[in-house]
Amino acid sequence: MNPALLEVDSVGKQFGGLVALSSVSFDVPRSSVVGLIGPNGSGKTTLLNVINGIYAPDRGSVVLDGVPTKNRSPSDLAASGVSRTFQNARVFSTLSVEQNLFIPLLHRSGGERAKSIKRADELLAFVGLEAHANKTAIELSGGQKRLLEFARALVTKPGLILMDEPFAGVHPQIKATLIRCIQEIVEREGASFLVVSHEVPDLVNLSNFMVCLVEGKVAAAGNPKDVVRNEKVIEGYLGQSDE
Amino acid sequence: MLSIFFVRKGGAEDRTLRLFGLVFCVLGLGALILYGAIGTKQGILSLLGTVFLYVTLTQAWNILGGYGGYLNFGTATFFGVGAYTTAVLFHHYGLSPFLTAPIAGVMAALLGVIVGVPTLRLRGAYFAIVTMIITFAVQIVVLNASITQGPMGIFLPPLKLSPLALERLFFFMFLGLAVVVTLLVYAIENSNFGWALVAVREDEDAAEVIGVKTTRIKYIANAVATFIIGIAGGIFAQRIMYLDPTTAFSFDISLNVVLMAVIGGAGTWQGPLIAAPLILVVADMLRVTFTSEVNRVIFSIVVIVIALYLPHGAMGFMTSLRQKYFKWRNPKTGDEVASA
Repeated sequence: MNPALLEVDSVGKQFGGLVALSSVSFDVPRSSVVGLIGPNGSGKTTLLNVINGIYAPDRGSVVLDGVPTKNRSPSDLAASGVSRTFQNARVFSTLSVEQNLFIPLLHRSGGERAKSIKRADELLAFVGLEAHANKTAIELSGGQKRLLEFARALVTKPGLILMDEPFAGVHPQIKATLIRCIQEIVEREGASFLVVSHEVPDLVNLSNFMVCLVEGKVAAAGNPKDVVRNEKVIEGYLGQSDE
Repeated sequence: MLSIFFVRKGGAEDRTLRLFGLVFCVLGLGALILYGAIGTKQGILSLLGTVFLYVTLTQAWNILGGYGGYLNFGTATFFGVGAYTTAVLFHHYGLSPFLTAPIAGVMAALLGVIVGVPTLRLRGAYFAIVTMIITFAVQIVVLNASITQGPMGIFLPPLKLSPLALERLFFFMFLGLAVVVTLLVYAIENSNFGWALVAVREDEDAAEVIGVKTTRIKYIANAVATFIIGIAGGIFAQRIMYLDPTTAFSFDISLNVVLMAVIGGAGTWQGPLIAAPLILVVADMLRVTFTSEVNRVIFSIVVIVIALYLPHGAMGFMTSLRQKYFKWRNPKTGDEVASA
Protein backbone atom coordinates (compact mmCIF):
# COMPACT_ATOMS: atom_id res chain seq x y z
CA MET A 1 0.00 0.00 0.00
CA ASN A 2 1.27 3.44 -0.96
CA PRO A 3 2.08 5.37 2.24
CA ALA A 4 0.70 8.58 0.75
CA LEU A 5 -3.06 8.87 0.30
CA LEU A 6 -2.70 11.91 -1.94
CA GLU A 7 0.24 12.87 -4.11
CA VAL A 8 0.31 16.37 -5.57
CA ASP A 9 3.05 16.42 -8.18
CA SER A 10 4.29 19.59 -9.94
CA VAL A 11 0.76 21.02 -10.19
CA GLY A 12 0.39 24.28 -12.10
CA LYS A 13 -2.73 26.33 -12.66
CA GLN A 14 -3.12 29.60 -14.52
CA PHE A 15 -6.11 31.92 -15.03
CA GLY A 16 -5.28 33.98 -18.11
CA GLY A 17 -2.08 35.80 -17.22
CA LEU A 18 -2.38 35.06 -13.51
CA VAL A 19 -0.28 32.16 -12.30
CA ALA A 20 -2.22 30.77 -9.33
CA LEU A 21 -0.14 27.63 -8.79
CA SER A 22 3.37 26.93 -10.01
CA SER A 23 4.85 23.45 -9.74
CA VAL A 24 3.31 22.61 -6.37
CA SER A 25 4.31 19.22 -4.97
CA PHE A 26 3.62 17.54 -1.64
CA ASP A 27 2.01 14.39 -0.22
CA VAL A 28 -0.81 13.84 2.23
CA PRO A 29 0.07 10.72 4.25
CA ARG A 30 -2.64 8.34 5.46
CA SER A 31 -4.20 9.04 8.87
CA SER A 32 -2.73 12.49 9.15
CA VAL A 33 -3.52 16.18 9.24
CA VAL A 34 -1.70 18.36 6.74
CA GLY A 35 -1.87 22.10 7.36
CA LEU A 36 -1.80 24.43 4.38
CA ILE A 37 -0.86 28.02 5.15
CA GLY A 38 0.07 31.06 3.13
CA PRO A 39 -0.94 34.67 2.56
CA ASN A 40 -4.20 35.63 0.85
CA GLY A 41 -3.99 35.02 -2.88
CA SER A 42 -1.21 32.46 -2.55
CA GLY A 43 -3.30 29.75 -4.22
CA LYS A 44 -4.51 27.69 -1.25
CA THR A 45 -8.18 27.55 -2.29
CA THR A 46 -7.19 27.03 -5.94
CA LEU A 47 -5.12 24.05 -4.83
CA LEU A 48 -8.09 22.59 -2.94
CA ASN A 49 -10.23 23.13 -6.05
CA VAL A 50 -7.68 21.29 -8.18
CA ILE A 51 -7.46 18.36 -5.73
CA ASN A 52 -11.24 18.33 -5.53
CA GLY A 53 -11.72 18.20 -9.33
CA ILE A 54 -13.42 21.61 -9.59
CA TYR A 55 -10.44 22.84 -11.64
CA ALA A 56 -8.30 20.71 -13.91
CA PRO A 57 -4.58 21.36 -13.44
CA ASP A 58 -2.76 22.89 -16.43
CA ARG A 59 0.38 21.00 -15.52
CA GLY A 60 1.35 18.19 -13.17
CA SER A 61 -0.83 15.54 -11.62
CA VAL A 62 -2.89 14.69 -8.58
CA VAL A 63 -2.91 11.04 -7.56
CA LEU A 64 -5.42 9.73 -5.05
CA ASP A 65 -4.72 6.33 -3.54
CA GLY A 66 -2.44 5.48 -6.46
CA VAL A 67 -4.97 6.55 -9.13
CA PRO A 68 -4.59 9.81 -11.11
CA THR A 69 -7.62 12.09 -10.67
CA LYS A 70 -7.31 13.64 -14.14
CA ASN A 71 -10.66 14.43 -15.80
CA ARG A 72 -12.65 13.19 -12.82
CA SER A 73 -15.56 15.29 -11.64
CA PRO A 74 -15.94 16.38 -8.01
CA SER A 75 -18.86 13.95 -7.62
CA ASP A 76 -16.71 11.07 -8.91
CA LEU A 77 -13.98 12.01 -6.47
CA ALA A 78 -16.55 12.21 -3.69
CA ALA A 79 -17.48 8.61 -4.50
CA SER A 80 -13.78 7.74 -4.18
CA GLY A 81 -13.65 9.22 -0.71
CA VAL A 82 -12.77 12.90 -1.16
CA SER A 83 -14.93 15.34 0.75
CA ARG A 84 -14.63 19.03 1.53
CA THR A 85 -15.88 22.12 3.28
CA PHE A 86 -15.79 25.65 1.89
CA GLN A 87 -14.34 28.98 3.01
CA ASN A 88 -17.86 30.19 3.82
CA ALA A 89 -20.01 27.38 5.17
CA ARG A 90 -22.22 26.26 2.29
CA VAL A 91 -25.14 24.37 3.75
CA PHE A 92 -28.46 23.71 2.04
CA SER A 93 -30.35 26.55 3.69
CA THR A 94 -33.95 25.49 3.17
CA LEU A 95 -33.36 21.89 4.23
CA SER A 96 -33.35 20.72 7.83
CA VAL A 97 -30.10 19.93 9.59
CA GLU A 98 -30.58 16.18 9.24
CA GLN A 99 -31.73 16.49 5.61
CA ASN A 100 -28.41 18.24 4.91
CA LEU A 101 -26.68 15.10 6.13
CA PHE A 102 -28.84 12.82 4.00
CA ILE A 103 -28.01 14.51 0.66
CA PRO A 104 -24.58 12.83 0.34
CA LEU A 105 -26.25 9.47 0.99
CA LEU A 106 -28.80 9.67 -1.84
CA HIS A 107 -27.04 7.12 -4.04
CA ARG A 108 -26.72 4.56 -1.26
CA SER A 109 -29.14 1.68 -0.91
CA GLY A 110 -30.18 -1.17 1.34
CA GLY A 111 -28.03 -1.99 4.35
CA GLU A 112 -25.42 0.58 3.36
CA ARG A 113 -28.11 3.26 3.55
CA ALA A 114 -29.34 2.12 6.96
CA LYS A 115 -25.77 2.24 8.28
CA SER A 116 -25.29 5.70 6.81
CA ILE A 117 -28.47 7.03 8.39
CA LYS A 118 -27.26 5.74 11.74
CA ARG A 119 -23.94 7.45 11.10
CA ALA A 120 -25.74 10.72 10.27
CA ASP A 121 -27.43 10.58 13.69
CA GLU A 122 -24.13 9.79 15.40
CA LEU A 123 -22.37 12.63 13.62
CA LEU A 124 -24.99 15.15 14.70
CA ALA A 125 -24.32 14.11 18.30
CA PHE A 126 -20.56 14.09 17.61
CA VAL A 127 -20.52 17.75 16.54
CA GLY A 128 -23.14 18.75 19.11
CA LEU A 129 -26.03 19.51 16.77
CA GLU A 130 -28.40 16.71 17.78
CA ALA A 131 -30.78 19.17 19.45
CA HIS A 132 -31.06 21.09 16.18
CA ALA A 133 -31.73 18.10 13.90
CA ASN A 134 -35.16 19.30 12.80
CA LYS A 135 -34.27 22.97 12.47
CA THR A 136 -33.90 24.49 9.04
CA ALA A 137 -30.22 25.08 8.29
CA ILE A 138 -30.82 28.80 7.75
CA GLU A 139 -31.82 29.10 11.42
CA LEU A 140 -28.36 28.04 12.61
CA SER A 141 -25.62 30.45 13.69
CA GLY A 142 -22.51 30.85 11.54
CA GLY A 143 -20.52 28.51 13.78
CA GLN A 144 -23.26 25.89 13.83
CA LYS A 145 -23.39 26.03 10.03
CA ARG A 146 -19.66 25.24 10.01
CA LEU A 147 -20.28 22.25 12.26
CA LEU A 148 -23.12 21.09 10.04
CA GLU A 149 -21.01 21.43 6.90
CA PHE A 150 -18.25 19.47 8.67
CA ALA A 151 -20.65 16.71 9.69
CA ARG A 152 -22.00 16.59 6.11
CA ALA A 153 -18.46 16.18 4.81
CA LEU A 154 -17.93 13.22 7.14
CA VAL A 155 -21.19 11.37 6.63
CA THR A 156 -19.96 9.18 3.75
CA LYS A 157 -16.89 8.18 5.79
CA PRO A 158 -14.41 9.76 3.35
CA GLY A 159 -10.70 8.99 3.34
CA LEU A 160 -9.63 12.57 2.60
CA ILE A 161 -11.34 15.69 3.86
CA LEU A 162 -10.35 19.09 2.48
CA MET A 163 -11.20 21.97 4.79
CA ASP A 164 -10.96 25.57 3.67
CA GLU A 165 -10.49 27.94 6.60
CA PRO A 166 -12.72 26.03 9.03
CA PHE A 167 -11.76 28.21 12.01
CA ALA A 168 -12.32 31.60 10.40
CA GLY A 169 -14.70 33.78 12.41
CA VAL A 170 -16.03 31.04 14.69
CA HIS A 171 -16.45 31.09 18.46
CA PRO A 172 -13.46 29.53 20.32
CA GLN A 173 -15.75 26.80 21.64
CA ILE A 174 -16.77 25.79 18.12
CA LYS A 175 -13.14 25.92 17.03
CA ALA A 176 -12.27 23.59 19.91
CA THR A 177 -15.10 21.25 18.85
CA LEU A 178 -13.82 21.19 15.27
CA ILE A 179 -10.24 20.47 16.39
CA ARG A 180 -11.39 17.70 18.73
CA CYS A 181 -13.53 16.15 15.98
CA ILE A 182 -10.70 16.25 13.43
CA GLN A 183 -8.32 14.53 15.86
CA GLU A 184 -10.89 11.88 16.75
CA ILE A 185 -11.76 11.12 13.12
CA VAL A 186 -8.07 10.70 12.25
CA GLU A 187 -7.53 8.41 15.22
CA ARG A 188 -10.76 6.43 14.97
CA GLU A 189 -11.31 6.17 11.23
CA GLY A 190 -7.85 6.69 9.81
CA ALA A 191 -8.98 9.58 7.60
CA SER A 192 -6.63 12.31 6.40
CA PHE A 193 -7.29 16.04 6.48
CA LEU A 194 -5.86 18.85 4.41
CA VAL A 195 -6.70 21.99 6.36
CA VAL A 196 -6.27 25.53 5.07
CA SER A 197 -6.14 28.11 7.86
CA HIS A 198 -4.68 31.42 8.96
CA GLU A 199 -4.92 30.27 12.60
CA VAL A 200 -1.29 29.19 12.48
CA PRO A 201 -0.72 28.27 16.17
CA ASP A 202 -3.79 26.03 16.19
CA LEU A 203 -2.79 24.46 12.89
CA VAL A 204 0.77 23.83 14.12
CA ASN A 205 -0.64 21.91 17.10
CA LEU A 206 -3.15 20.02 14.98
CA SER A 207 -1.01 19.09 11.97
CA ASN A 208 1.48 16.29 11.43
CA PHE A 209 2.82 17.98 8.35
CA MET A 210 2.64 21.52 7.02
CA VAL A 211 2.93 23.22 3.64
CA CYS A 212 3.29 26.95 3.12
CA LEU A 213 2.38 28.45 -0.24
CA VAL A 214 3.66 31.88 -1.26
CA GLU A 215 2.73 33.29 -4.67
CA GLY A 216 1.57 29.89 -5.89
CA LYS A 217 4.82 28.09 -4.96
CA VAL A 218 5.74 25.88 -2.04
CA ALA A 219 7.85 28.11 0.20
CA ALA A 220 8.38 25.38 2.78
CA ALA A 221 7.04 21.94 3.65
CA GLY A 222 7.67 19.54 6.50
CA ASN A 223 7.35 19.47 10.25
CA PRO A 224 4.91 22.26 11.26
CA LYS A 225 7.26 23.76 13.87
CA ASP A 226 10.10 23.87 11.35
CA VAL A 227 7.87 25.38 8.67
CA VAL A 228 6.80 28.34 10.81
CA ARG A 229 10.48 29.03 11.65
CA ASN A 230 11.51 28.88 8.01
CA GLU A 231 12.91 32.20 6.73
CA LYS A 232 10.97 32.13 3.48
CA VAL A 233 7.73 31.54 5.42
CA ILE A 234 8.48 34.37 7.84
CA GLU A 235 9.40 36.70 5.00
CA GLY A 236 6.56 35.76 2.67
CA TYR A 237 3.73 35.17 5.16
CA LEU A 238 4.18 35.39 8.91
CA GLY A 239 6.40 38.48 9.14
CA GLN A 240 8.98 39.19 11.88
CA SER A 241 7.84 39.21 15.50
CA ASP A 242 8.43 42.41 17.52
CA GLU A 243 10.75 40.70 19.95
CA MET B 1 -35.82 5.86 -6.53
CA LEU B 2 -37.34 5.46 -3.08
CA SER B 3 -36.34 8.45 -1.03
CA ILE B 4 -33.90 8.21 1.82
CA PHE B 5 -36.08 10.80 3.49
CA PHE B 6 -39.00 8.43 3.86
CA VAL B 7 -37.55 7.34 7.17
CA ARG B 8 -38.05 10.83 8.53
CA LYS B 9 -41.63 11.52 7.53
CA GLY B 10 -43.53 13.56 10.06
CA GLY B 11 -45.64 12.41 12.96
CA ALA B 12 -49.30 11.57 13.47
CA GLU B 13 -50.59 15.12 12.97
CA ASP B 14 -48.56 15.51 9.81
CA ARG B 15 -49.99 12.24 8.51
CA THR B 16 -53.49 13.50 9.30
CA LEU B 17 -52.83 16.65 7.29
CA ARG B 18 -51.48 14.58 4.40
CA LEU B 19 -54.54 12.32 4.53
CA PHE B 20 -56.77 15.38 4.52
CA GLY B 21 -54.90 16.70 1.48
CA LEU B 22 -55.25 13.37 -0.31
CA VAL B 23 -59.01 13.21 0.40
CA PHE B 24 -59.36 16.81 -0.82
CA CYS B 25 -57.51 16.00 -4.06
CA VAL B 26 -59.55 12.84 -4.70
CA LEU B 27 -62.85 14.65 -4.07
CA GLY B 28 -61.75 17.57 -6.26
CA LEU B 29 -60.78 15.20 -9.06
CA GLY B 30 -64.10 13.37 -8.71
CA ALA B 31 -65.99 16.66 -8.96
CA LEU B 32 -64.04 17.64 -12.08
CA ILE B 33 -64.69 14.28 -13.74
CA LEU B 34 -68.40 14.62 -12.91
CA TYR B 35 -68.51 18.14 -14.35
CA GLY B 36 -66.64 17.02 -17.46
CA ALA B 37 -69.18 14.25 -17.97
CA ILE B 38 -72.39 16.21 -17.38
CA GLY B 39 -71.42 19.89 -17.74
CA THR B 40 -72.92 21.61 -20.78
CA LYS B 41 -71.33 25.06 -20.67
CA GLN B 42 -68.73 25.06 -23.41
CA GLY B 43 -67.03 28.20 -22.06
CA ILE B 44 -66.37 26.61 -18.67
CA LEU B 45 -65.25 23.30 -20.19
CA SER B 46 -62.90 25.21 -22.47
CA LEU B 47 -61.49 27.31 -19.61
CA LEU B 48 -60.97 24.22 -17.46
CA GLY B 49 -59.28 22.48 -20.41
CA THR B 50 -56.84 25.42 -20.60
CA VAL B 51 -56.32 25.25 -16.82
CA PHE B 52 -55.37 21.55 -17.10
CA LEU B 53 -53.06 22.32 -20.01
CA TYR B 54 -51.27 24.94 -17.90
CA VAL B 55 -51.18 22.65 -14.85
CA THR B 56 -49.35 20.16 -17.09
CA LEU B 57 -46.92 22.74 -18.45
CA THR B 58 -46.24 24.27 -15.03
CA GLN B 59 -45.71 20.91 -13.37
CA ALA B 60 -43.25 20.01 -16.15
CA TRP B 61 -41.46 23.36 -15.74
CA ASN B 62 -41.38 22.74 -12.00
CA ILE B 63 -39.11 19.70 -12.37
CA LEU B 64 -36.04 21.68 -13.43
CA GLY B 65 -37.20 25.20 -12.63
CA GLY B 66 -38.86 24.66 -9.27
CA TYR B 67 -36.93 21.78 -7.74
CA GLY B 68 -33.66 22.38 -9.61
CA GLY B 69 -33.74 26.18 -9.44
CA TYR B 70 -33.11 26.74 -13.15
CA LEU B 71 -35.41 29.60 -14.16
CA ASN B 72 -36.40 28.58 -17.65
CA PHE B 73 -38.15 31.12 -19.87
CA GLY B 74 -38.19 28.75 -22.84
CA THR B 75 -41.28 26.58 -22.26
CA ALA B 76 -42.75 27.91 -25.52
CA THR B 77 -39.79 26.47 -27.46
CA PHE B 78 -40.64 22.89 -26.57
CA PHE B 79 -44.38 23.48 -26.61
CA GLY B 80 -44.11 24.88 -30.14
CA VAL B 81 -41.85 22.07 -31.32
CA GLY B 82 -44.34 19.52 -29.95
CA ALA B 83 -47.26 21.29 -31.59
CA TYR B 84 -45.48 21.56 -34.94
CA THR B 85 -44.37 17.92 -34.81
CA THR B 86 -47.94 16.61 -34.71
CA ALA B 87 -49.15 19.29 -37.16
CA VAL B 88 -46.42 18.48 -39.70
CA LEU B 89 -46.95 14.72 -39.32
CA PHE B 90 -50.64 15.23 -39.91
CA HIS B 91 -50.15 17.60 -42.83
CA HIS B 92 -47.63 15.43 -44.67
CA TYR B 93 -48.60 11.90 -43.60
CA GLY B 94 -52.19 12.22 -42.38
CA LEU B 95 -51.32 10.88 -38.91
CA SER B 96 -53.64 11.90 -36.08
CA PRO B 97 -52.03 14.21 -33.45
CA PHE B 98 -53.46 11.90 -30.76
CA LEU B 99 -51.26 9.10 -32.14
CA THR B 100 -48.20 11.23 -32.77
CA ALA B 101 -48.23 13.16 -29.48
CA PRO B 102 -45.54 10.83 -28.00
CA ILE B 103 -43.36 11.58 -31.06
CA ALA B 104 -43.92 15.29 -30.31
CA GLY B 105 -42.64 14.61 -26.80
CA VAL B 106 -39.58 12.82 -28.15
CA MET B 107 -38.80 15.65 -30.60
CA ALA B 108 -39.13 18.26 -27.85
CA ALA B 109 -36.96 16.19 -25.50
CA LEU B 110 -34.37 15.75 -28.25
CA LEU B 111 -34.22 19.49 -28.73
CA GLY B 112 -34.17 19.87 -24.93
CA VAL B 113 -31.08 17.65 -24.71
CA ILE B 114 -29.33 19.43 -27.60
CA VAL B 115 -30.09 22.87 -26.17
CA GLY B 116 -29.49 21.71 -22.59
CA VAL B 117 -25.87 20.64 -23.11
CA PRO B 118 -24.58 24.21 -23.58
CA THR B 119 -27.27 26.13 -21.66
CA LEU B 120 -27.32 24.07 -18.47
CA ARG B 121 -23.74 25.17 -17.84
CA LEU B 122 -25.13 28.68 -17.34
CA ARG B 123 -26.76 29.80 -14.13
CA GLY B 124 -29.21 32.40 -12.88
CA ALA B 125 -30.13 35.26 -15.18
CA TYR B 126 -27.83 34.04 -17.97
CA PHE B 127 -29.72 30.76 -18.22
CA ALA B 128 -33.08 32.56 -18.14
CA ILE B 129 -32.08 34.98 -20.92
CA VAL B 130 -30.60 32.27 -23.15
CA THR B 131 -33.69 30.06 -22.88
CA MET B 132 -35.81 33.06 -23.89
CA ILE B 133 -33.60 33.83 -26.89
CA ILE B 134 -33.71 30.20 -28.04
CA THR B 135 -37.51 30.47 -28.30
CA PHE B 136 -37.16 33.41 -30.69
CA ALA B 137 -34.45 31.59 -32.68
CA VAL B 138 -36.56 28.45 -33.10
CA GLN B 139 -39.58 30.59 -33.98
CA ILE B 140 -37.60 32.26 -36.78
CA VAL B 141 -36.47 28.86 -38.09
CA VAL B 142 -40.08 27.61 -38.16
CA LEU B 143 -41.19 30.89 -39.76
CA ASN B 144 -38.78 30.30 -42.63
CA ALA B 145 -38.96 26.54 -43.08
CA SER B 146 -40.94 25.04 -45.96
CA ILE B 147 -41.92 21.88 -44.07
CA THR B 148 -43.83 24.04 -41.55
CA GLN B 149 -45.34 26.23 -44.29
CA GLY B 150 -43.62 29.27 -42.78
CA PRO B 151 -45.87 32.19 -41.82
CA MET B 152 -48.88 30.56 -43.53
CA GLY B 153 -49.07 28.00 -40.77
CA ILE B 154 -50.75 24.59 -40.86
CA PHE B 155 -54.47 23.85 -40.74
CA LEU B 156 -55.70 20.71 -39.03
CA PRO B 157 -59.25 19.71 -39.95
CA PRO B 158 -61.73 19.67 -37.06
CA LEU B 159 -62.67 16.33 -35.58
CA LYS B 160 -66.12 15.09 -36.54
CA LEU B 161 -67.70 15.89 -33.20
CA SER B 162 -70.19 18.46 -31.93
CA PRO B 163 -68.57 21.59 -30.39
CA LEU B 164 -69.62 20.44 -26.90
CA ALA B 165 -68.23 16.92 -27.41
CA LEU B 166 -65.03 18.46 -28.72
CA GLU B 167 -64.59 20.60 -25.59
CA ARG B 168 -65.39 17.57 -23.48
CA LEU B 169 -62.77 15.50 -25.30
CA PHE B 170 -60.00 18.05 -24.72
CA PHE B 171 -61.22 18.63 -21.16
CA PHE B 172 -60.60 14.96 -20.39
CA MET B 173 -57.40 14.70 -22.42
CA PHE B 174 -55.77 17.61 -20.61
CA LEU B 175 -57.23 16.53 -17.25
CA GLY B 176 -55.71 13.07 -17.73
CA LEU B 177 -52.37 14.57 -18.72
CA ALA B 178 -52.42 16.96 -15.74
CA VAL B 179 -53.20 14.11 -13.31
CA VAL B 180 -50.45 11.85 -14.69
CA VAL B 181 -47.86 14.64 -14.67
CA THR B 182 -48.87 15.77 -11.16
CA LEU B 183 -48.45 12.19 -9.90
CA LEU B 184 -45.06 12.04 -11.63
CA VAL B 185 -43.95 15.32 -10.03
CA TYR B 186 -45.22 14.10 -6.65
CA ALA B 187 -43.12 10.94 -7.11
CA ILE B 188 -40.10 13.04 -8.09
CA GLU B 189 -40.56 15.32 -5.05
CA ASN B 190 -40.46 12.27 -2.80
CA SER B 191 -37.58 10.52 -4.53
CA ASN B 192 -33.80 10.70 -4.22
CA PHE B 193 -33.79 12.27 -7.67
CA GLY B 194 -36.03 15.08 -6.37
CA TRP B 195 -33.79 15.67 -3.37
CA ALA B 196 -30.74 15.76 -5.59
CA LEU B 197 -32.49 18.45 -7.65
CA VAL B 198 -33.22 20.42 -4.49
CA ALA B 199 -29.53 20.18 -3.56
CA VAL B 200 -28.67 21.56 -7.02
CA ARG B 201 -31.05 24.46 -6.41
CA GLU B 202 -29.64 25.18 -2.96
CA ASP B 203 -25.97 25.12 -3.92
CA GLU B 204 -24.84 23.31 -7.05
CA ASP B 205 -21.11 23.35 -6.23
CA ALA B 206 -21.65 22.08 -2.70
CA ALA B 207 -23.97 19.36 -4.03
CA GLU B 208 -21.39 18.25 -6.60
CA VAL B 209 -18.52 17.97 -4.10
CA ILE B 210 -20.56 15.79 -1.75
CA GLY B 211 -21.33 13.33 -4.52
CA VAL B 212 -24.48 14.56 -6.31
CA LYS B 213 -23.97 14.06 -10.04
CA THR B 214 -25.35 17.48 -10.82
CA THR B 215 -24.81 17.46 -14.59
CA ARG B 216 -26.60 14.15 -15.07
CA ILE B 217 -29.43 15.18 -12.74
CA LYS B 218 -30.01 18.43 -14.67
CA TYR B 219 -29.98 16.71 -18.07
CA ILE B 220 -32.47 14.07 -16.96
CA ALA B 221 -34.76 16.70 -15.41
CA ASN B 222 -34.60 18.77 -18.57
CA ALA B 223 -35.32 15.80 -20.83
CA VAL B 224 -38.33 14.68 -18.75
CA ALA B 225 -39.73 18.22 -18.57
CA THR B 226 -39.36 18.93 -22.29
CA PHE B 227 -40.85 15.53 -23.17
CA ILE B 228 -44.01 16.37 -21.20
CA ILE B 229 -44.21 19.90 -22.64
CA GLY B 230 -43.82 18.45 -26.16
CA ILE B 231 -46.72 16.02 -25.65
CA ALA B 232 -48.93 18.84 -24.35
CA GLY B 233 -48.00 20.94 -27.39
CA GLY B 234 -48.77 18.02 -29.70
CA ILE B 235 -52.31 17.68 -28.34
CA PHE B 236 -52.78 21.46 -28.28
CA ALA B 237 -52.21 21.58 -32.08
CA GLN B 238 -55.32 19.46 -32.63
CA ARG B 239 -57.28 21.57 -30.18
CA ILE B 240 -56.66 24.92 -31.88
CA MET B 241 -56.75 23.38 -35.40
CA TYR B 242 -54.59 26.10 -36.91
CA LEU B 243 -50.97 26.47 -36.01
CA ASP B 244 -48.73 29.40 -36.84
CA PRO B 245 -45.29 30.30 -35.39
CA THR B 246 -46.64 33.30 -33.46
CA THR B 247 -49.19 31.22 -31.54
CA ALA B 248 -47.11 28.10 -31.06
CA PHE B 249 -43.98 29.92 -29.83
CA SER B 250 -45.76 32.75 -27.99
CA PHE B 251 -43.66 34.16 -25.17
CA ASP B 252 -46.91 34.48 -23.17
CA ILE B 253 -46.83 30.69 -22.70
CA SER B 254 -43.36 30.79 -21.13
CA LEU B 255 -44.22 33.79 -18.98
CA ASN B 256 -47.53 32.34 -17.76
CA VAL B 257 -45.85 29.09 -16.77
CA VAL B 258 -43.16 30.89 -14.74
CA LEU B 259 -45.79 33.12 -13.11
CA MET B 260 -47.94 30.14 -12.18
CA ALA B 261 -45.00 28.24 -10.72
CA VAL B 262 -43.78 31.22 -8.70
CA ILE B 263 -47.21 32.33 -7.47
CA GLY B 264 -48.23 28.79 -6.55
CA GLY B 265 -44.88 28.00 -4.95
CA ALA B 266 -41.99 26.81 -7.10
CA GLY B 267 -40.66 23.40 -6.18
CA THR B 268 -43.94 22.04 -4.82
CA TRP B 269 -46.34 19.71 -6.60
CA GLN B 270 -49.30 21.61 -5.14
CA GLY B 271 -48.18 25.03 -6.45
CA PRO B 272 -49.31 24.60 -10.07
CA LEU B 273 -52.64 23.12 -8.91
CA ILE B 274 -53.34 26.32 -6.97
CA ALA B 275 -51.87 28.93 -9.30
CA ALA B 276 -52.97 27.73 -12.75
CA PRO B 277 -56.72 27.95 -12.03
CA LEU B 278 -56.25 31.09 -9.93
CA ILE B 279 -54.38 33.00 -12.62
CA LEU B 280 -56.45 31.80 -15.57
CA VAL B 281 -59.79 32.37 -13.85
CA VAL B 282 -58.74 35.80 -12.50
CA ALA B 283 -57.36 36.77 -15.93
CA ASP B 284 -60.60 35.60 -17.56
CA MET B 285 -62.74 37.56 -15.09
CA LEU B 286 -60.62 40.68 -15.59
CA ARG B 287 -60.81 40.25 -19.37
CA VAL B 288 -64.61 40.23 -19.39
CA THR B 289 -64.86 43.05 -16.83
CA PHE B 290 -62.26 45.54 -18.06
CA THR B 291 -60.63 46.60 -21.31
CA SER B 292 -57.50 44.72 -22.31
CA GLU B 293 -55.13 47.51 -21.15
CA VAL B 294 -56.83 47.93 -17.75
CA ASN B 295 -57.00 44.20 -17.07
CA ARG B 296 -53.27 43.83 -17.74
CA VAL B 297 -52.52 46.65 -15.30
CA ILE B 298 -54.73 45.13 -12.60
CA PHE B 299 -53.25 41.70 -13.22
CA SER B 300 -49.72 43.13 -12.91
CA ILE B 301 -50.64 44.80 -9.62
CA VAL B 302 -51.99 41.50 -8.29
CA VAL B 303 -48.72 39.76 -9.26
CA ILE B 304 -46.60 42.48 -7.59
CA VAL B 305 -48.65 42.27 -4.38
CA ILE B 306 -48.25 38.48 -4.30
CA ALA B 307 -44.50 38.77 -4.96
CA LEU B 308 -44.16 41.29 -2.12
CA TYR B 309 -46.26 39.56 0.51
CA LEU B 310 -45.96 35.90 -0.51
CA PRO B 311 -42.36 35.60 -1.76
CA HIS B 312 -42.52 31.79 -1.61
CA GLY B 313 -45.92 31.63 -3.26
CA ALA B 314 -49.17 30.23 -1.97
CA MET B 315 -47.52 27.00 -0.82
CA GLY B 316 -44.88 28.92 1.11
CA PHE B 317 -47.67 30.74 2.92
CA MET B 318 -49.47 27.48 3.66
CA THR B 319 -46.26 25.87 4.91
CA SER B 320 -45.68 28.75 7.33
CA LEU B 321 -49.29 28.36 8.55
CA ARG B 322 -48.66 24.64 9.05
CA GLN B 323 -45.49 25.33 11.02
CA LYS B 324 -47.35 27.82 13.22
CA TYR B 325 -50.03 25.18 13.79
CA PHE B 326 -47.40 22.62 14.85
CA LYS B 327 -45.72 25.16 17.13
CA TRP B 328 -49.10 25.89 18.69
CA ARG B 329 -49.76 22.17 19.18
CA ASN B 330 -46.25 21.39 20.44
CA PRO B 331 -45.05 24.58 22.15
CA LYS B 332 -42.05 22.82 23.75
CA THR B 333 -40.44 21.49 20.59
CA GLY B 334 -42.43 23.18 17.88
CA ASP B 335 -41.60 20.53 15.33
CA GLU B 336 -43.57 17.91 13.53
CA VAL B 337 -41.47 14.86 14.34
CA ALA B 338 -41.97 15.38 18.03
CA SER B 339 -45.62 14.60 17.64
CA ALA B 340 -44.95 11.07 16.38
